[in-house]
Amino acid sequence: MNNQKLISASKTMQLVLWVMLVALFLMVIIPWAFPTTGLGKFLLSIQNFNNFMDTYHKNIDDFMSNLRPISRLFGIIASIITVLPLVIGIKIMLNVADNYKNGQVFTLNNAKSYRLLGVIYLIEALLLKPLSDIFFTLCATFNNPVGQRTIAFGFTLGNMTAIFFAIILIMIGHVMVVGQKMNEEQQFTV
Amino acid sequence: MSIIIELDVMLARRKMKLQDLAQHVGITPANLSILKNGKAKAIRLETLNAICAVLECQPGDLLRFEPDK
Repeated sequence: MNNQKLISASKTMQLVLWVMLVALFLMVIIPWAFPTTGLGKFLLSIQNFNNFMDTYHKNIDDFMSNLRPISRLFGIIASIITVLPLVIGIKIMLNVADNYKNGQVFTLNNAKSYRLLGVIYLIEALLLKPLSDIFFTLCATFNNPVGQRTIAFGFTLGNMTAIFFAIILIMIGHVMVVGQKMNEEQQFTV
Repeated sequence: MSIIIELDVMLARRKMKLQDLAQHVGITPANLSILKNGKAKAIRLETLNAICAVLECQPGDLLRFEPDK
């Protein structure tokens, strides 16, 4: 009965994760392919791009309709960096859901997956988020005359929250690895 | 591992089968097989006590230390 519930929950989780994966793919492609459309602007605002634009440009629509290829490239790189940890995280969770579906719940593989997830989000908070900020500012200011181009990145409370949850994930993964080893020893205790 | 389990030797000496010992000791033959094949990571004193009682031997007759090479 519990196994059936787990299988059903895993299938639902996999479906949601696949939808998220497709949504993320579209989130990167659509805004930079059609930056002036309503959907494009909306998807850019989700990626926090509007904050950078508000800082550097009075008229965002003007800027977006005259977007140069190099700025667009910086924007695409920034978007890819923004969604990359999520894509990797989804891929890991798809594997975990697959394991759950096959009845492998408290296994070393799953424990390591959770730990890896934590490490990825730690890297995201410490490195990738500032890096995507840099590319977004480059995208927003690269068309400016020399001397008015900017490279900027920030470290906010959001980063701190991400670091906090990443550390928790690493800890959970670590505890699961230790628990798995204890369970294995218990199995071989006669 | 440096601790060698000599259960098979004692079983041969007592002319007893693994299944019979398992039945007397009250553990599954599969678990006893883990012990016999040296795959066990730990042995409960309770189990050792029961095995010694059935085979009428000392723990030293079942366990032997061999330094790692």
